Amino acid sequence: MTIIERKKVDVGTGVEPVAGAVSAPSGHRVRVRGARKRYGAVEALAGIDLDIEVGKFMVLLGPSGSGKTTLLRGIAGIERFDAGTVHFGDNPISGGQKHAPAERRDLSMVFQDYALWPHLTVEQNVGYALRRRRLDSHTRRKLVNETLERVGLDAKLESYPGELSGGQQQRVALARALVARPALLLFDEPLSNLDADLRERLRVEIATLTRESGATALYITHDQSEAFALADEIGVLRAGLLEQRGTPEDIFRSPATQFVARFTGIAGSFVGRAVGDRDGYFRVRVGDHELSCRAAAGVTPGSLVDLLIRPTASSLGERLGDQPAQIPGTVVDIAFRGRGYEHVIESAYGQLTSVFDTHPWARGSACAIRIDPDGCIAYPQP
Amino acid sequence: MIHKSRVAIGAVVLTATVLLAGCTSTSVSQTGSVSKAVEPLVLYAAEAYDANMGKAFTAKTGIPVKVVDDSTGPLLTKVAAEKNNPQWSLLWVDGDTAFASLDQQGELLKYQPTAAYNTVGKAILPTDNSYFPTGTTVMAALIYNSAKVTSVPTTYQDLTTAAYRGQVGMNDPSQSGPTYPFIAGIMNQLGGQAAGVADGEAYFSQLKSNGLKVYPTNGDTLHALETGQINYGLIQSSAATGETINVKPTSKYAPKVVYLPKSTLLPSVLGIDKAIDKTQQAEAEKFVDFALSPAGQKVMQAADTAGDSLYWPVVNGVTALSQLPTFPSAYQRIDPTYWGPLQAKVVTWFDTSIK
Amino acid sequence: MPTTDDVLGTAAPLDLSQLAPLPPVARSSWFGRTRRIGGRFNPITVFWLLIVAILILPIALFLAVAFSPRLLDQGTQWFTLSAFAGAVNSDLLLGMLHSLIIGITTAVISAAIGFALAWVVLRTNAPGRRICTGVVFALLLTPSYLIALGWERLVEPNGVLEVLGYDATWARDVIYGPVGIVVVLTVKGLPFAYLAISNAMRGLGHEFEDAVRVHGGGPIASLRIVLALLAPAVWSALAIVFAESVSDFGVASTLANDAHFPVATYSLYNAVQAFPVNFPVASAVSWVLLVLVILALLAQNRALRGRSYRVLGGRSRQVIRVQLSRGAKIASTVALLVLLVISLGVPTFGAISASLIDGLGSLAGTHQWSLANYQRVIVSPDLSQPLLYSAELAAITATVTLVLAVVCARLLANKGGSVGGRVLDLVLLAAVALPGIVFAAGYIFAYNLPLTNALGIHLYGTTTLLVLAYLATALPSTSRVLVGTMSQIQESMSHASRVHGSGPIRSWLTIVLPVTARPLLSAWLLTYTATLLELPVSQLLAPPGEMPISVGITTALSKYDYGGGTAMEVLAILSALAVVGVGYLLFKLIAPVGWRRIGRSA
Repeated sequence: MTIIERKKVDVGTGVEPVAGAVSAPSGHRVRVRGARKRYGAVEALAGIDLDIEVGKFMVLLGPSGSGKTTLLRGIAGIERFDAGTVHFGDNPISGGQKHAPAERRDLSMVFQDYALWPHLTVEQNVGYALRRRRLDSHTRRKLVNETLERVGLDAKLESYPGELSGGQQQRVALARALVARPALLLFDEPLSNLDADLRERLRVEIATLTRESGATALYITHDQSEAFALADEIGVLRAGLLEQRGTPEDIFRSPATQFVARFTGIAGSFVGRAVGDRDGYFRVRVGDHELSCRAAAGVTPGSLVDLLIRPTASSLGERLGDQPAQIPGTVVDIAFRGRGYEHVIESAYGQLTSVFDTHPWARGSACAIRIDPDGCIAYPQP
Repeated sequence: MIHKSRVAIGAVVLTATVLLAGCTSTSVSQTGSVSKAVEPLVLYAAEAYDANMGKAFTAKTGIPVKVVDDSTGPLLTKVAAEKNNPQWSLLWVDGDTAFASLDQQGELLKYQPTAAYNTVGKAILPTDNSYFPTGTTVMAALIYNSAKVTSVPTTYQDLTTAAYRGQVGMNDPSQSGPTYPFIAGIMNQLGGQAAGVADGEAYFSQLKSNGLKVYPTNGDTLHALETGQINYGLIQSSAATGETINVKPTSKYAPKVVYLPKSTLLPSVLGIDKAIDKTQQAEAEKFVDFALSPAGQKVMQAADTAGDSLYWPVVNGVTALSQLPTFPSAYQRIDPTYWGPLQAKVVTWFDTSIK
Repeated sequence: MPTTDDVLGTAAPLDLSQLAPLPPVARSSWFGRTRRIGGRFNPITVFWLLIVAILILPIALFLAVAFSPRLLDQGTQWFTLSAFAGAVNSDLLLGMLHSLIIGITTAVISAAIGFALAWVVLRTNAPGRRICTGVVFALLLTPSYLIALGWERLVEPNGVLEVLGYDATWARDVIYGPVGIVVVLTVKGLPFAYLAISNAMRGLGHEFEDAVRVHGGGPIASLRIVLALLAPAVWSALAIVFAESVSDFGVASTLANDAHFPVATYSLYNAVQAFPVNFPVASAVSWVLLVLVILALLAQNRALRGRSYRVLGGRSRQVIRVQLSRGAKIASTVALLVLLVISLGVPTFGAISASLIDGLGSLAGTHQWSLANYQRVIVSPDLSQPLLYSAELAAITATVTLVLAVVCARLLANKGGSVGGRVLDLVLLAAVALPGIVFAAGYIFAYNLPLTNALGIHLYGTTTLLVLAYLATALPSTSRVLVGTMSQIQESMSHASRVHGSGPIRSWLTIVLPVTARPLLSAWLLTYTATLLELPVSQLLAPPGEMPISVGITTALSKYDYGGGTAMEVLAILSALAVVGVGYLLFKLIAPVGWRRIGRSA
């Protein structure tokens, strides 16, 4: 069962699409300036600027304690920033003495713990979000039914949240967020309480239904694969500051800092000494070997650097004599991944995980790691 | 955070609404009374006839009386707590010790009532006219079960003899208001103000070694008598007479009452608050005169014929209810200014040594 | 994964024409209902002003008298420590130790029984579990003297046991002593413990216990997890029962007094009830009680530091009742019966033996069983007038208290949160720990000051002040009973309501109220019933010319009308039980199905 198939059925049952309503995005343009928030001694937000264009899907990625939840709740209106302003389009939403309450912001939210109301049925839960639209009961019921159909729960109208599985509950929460067509959709780690299979399927539903609604979306997570899969744009948060923002491709290919690189996934790292530019790449000496890589800002010839290697940038080969561009290693472990095998390799300079090859290498066998300079980035040592 | 404060708004608004509603309904009568010629009297009273007396007085004079009817303990607590801004006009409770103490603190208005006190009344009336006995009971009446025992004591000393071993009960002075005057009366009789409490203490110790039983109040002592735990009980005269009126004698239980010499007077007493304004003072004085008048006494005697109405009058021209025996010839008044301050000490001693 | 275009191309979007735009106000005025910080009307400030007026000021003034009797005309000195010397000279130190031991024992036993009772009622199919709520409310209503009276009737010389031919000497020795005191106080504390714990347990899903069982834990381990999850409620129960016990006045003046077992409140009783009244000493003893309660509070905070257990939310599952085996059913029934007899049977017997037997509570002789007392009392305006007056005040008090208690419980539920929350916690517990009479005297001090009158505040002697004092008396226990519930509400549920377009009031009414409806109803009924028969505050603060039912009852009793007094008492209790019954019945009939689902078991 996929959403798309169901919607084809919908067309057949007479729900007429309204031309133009969907293609013209109706979301908020979100602008946050200088957002700060402190809880006692802990500074959750240290002055953040954030822009989300109309209809874009922005994912904030960061470890716990990075301030992403605080930022989301501040934009939602559940919490108030100590300082800074929020604008939706040209409308000031929060700043100084003024603070529009959550219910006046024309947004909706999917919560990590679902936050369904246990005393209301599925239909009532979803219908609740329509109250602000002041619809007649027939229209309301119809919209609720349609939205629940989209998430595959039209058979559960009369059920109470307690009678549903976790995945079903989060689908109800998604329907509730979508039904009133708010201008901004907020997602607070909505998948983190679900198991892997459900997570993947619900992620697809979130991605498609959100984009279809035309709303601007802000989604926070600590899972980089979720971020890369969902986002039009990613912002990486660290200790209350926005460390880098860009398209998923930008973030993956050119992580601005060692933190961003590590948080978005690496196979491992080596310590080396910067040598200098050659053939459009930067050269770094690691032990007896010299590797090509790309250099982040602040790397100067002769300095010590951390060399971070993306999982996609490493591959395995036979150890053939002394080749300076290849690091010799030993296979420690191996994992079958369907399209091939990921290996854990121990080398003289450190361990690399997720080293891919289409063929399995036996544990303990000698090998050589080849490194693609595009997925290997040198950072100045902190 | 926002949410919390909104809840608070709701709370405060609702509270304010309810309170305002409450205020408007009650404060009108409060503030309306300030400038009128007739001001309501506030009577703090622990007598069964107090409400009827209030009504009768209003009917006669047109002066409204607000009665705060409660037990003596809470009323005295209330009076003490209000000390820096008294709210009562009149206090009417049993016993004169509290009044003597209030008088010493200068809280009572002195007044010469128009009524003529009889001999007993004159014995109780303080020389400075600071409070006014309205009737008296005595402590203690000895009530006994004549269906079970035949020997009747004639003195308090008799109760310490073998014939009465384990059969006598009395009230606990820490819980029964009339009981301290009884103990103080015995002490007064045996040692007097000159010799102090020692002889009295010795007497109660003898009673204890003869098997004295102590129950909380008049009612509990009566209950013990009815259930055969004791055969002789030392209780207040009104309670004892009430019991003889209430109970039809049977072969198992036939209560009778005697008075041993001496009986200690335990009057009901009215006092006027010195802090009230002139108008109220005049009204309060009228109330005192009404209480001592034949009309007032009639109301008092009709209100609770098996209880508080069973008192002996202290003014001339009024006769006691027919169920009451003649007034005991051997009686004494104990000086409240001497025995009042000793109360805490004596009660504590009784608590630890006798009970 | 399909691209955006794929989706849009194949999707049949929602019919947007059916979606009315947001009301113009919402679009154009973003600050339509914005709260201003530092504006003229800050509700939190008003809330605190009210707390100061009804709780902090009277308590503080009463406590000040210990140091400065002159301040309120209770002595000549502006500053002295002699009241403390006077208090300590008596049996106070021993009494304090006794109070501490009795308080802890009572708290632990009450919490244990309350927990077991809640578990049996909510988590098993034990027979007879449905009557437990009624029993708990009946207990709450029963004044401690009636419980003591019942025991006395049973074990006194020639009492029921001896009339029936049993030697009651041993029982008398046991009851007239610390054991009897603990029994009576436990019976009085049980309702608080049960309500606090059962309200929390209702919201606890079964998954936590399942988790224990699948990880190899037995029933005991599973019970321990439930206990840990309910820790805030259990600690609330312990704290409140402890505070109620150390401050109990009735038992101090009766059983403890008769048993020569001094407790801290006994010194206080002597200072306030015996003439001449000595408020400075009473105040000094109050300080001691306060210290005991602060110790209890510290223990609670230490035990709960930084932990919170938010389990009442959309993710909670239905509870599965444990199907008891035949043996377990018999055991639980026997246990419930024993509890019923000890807690309710004995005092009921006491009350009925006093009220149904014509004349005094005699068991021999002429006294016949009759309904004469009831006939007399029912037709008398002495009963109907005070009962209606008290019922009206109790209803107002319960309603306002409920609103304030919700706010308090929310503040208290934020563990380790604001300084305000901690101050409130202390104030509320102090209010529980101080006997009602102290509290009432504090009210007289605070609202009968010449200064207050000069300011134009004429509250003393009005029904308004009586209601405020009732409010202050009821607020601490009601708040504490609700803390368990409030600390379980997942905040995200009301956040979800806000972000989906409901204002604060509507979100509260549509989300928080339904989810907490049953505990709120329990709390209302608790406050109503407790206020109806409240004695010390009624005695000192009832306005002239009005008589609350409790004062009517005591007055009748003090005039040796035991039959009439107890009959009034029984009728008042029956009226309150009727209100409780009607309350729950209405909830069952009127409340939407979803409201009733919360905490219901499969």
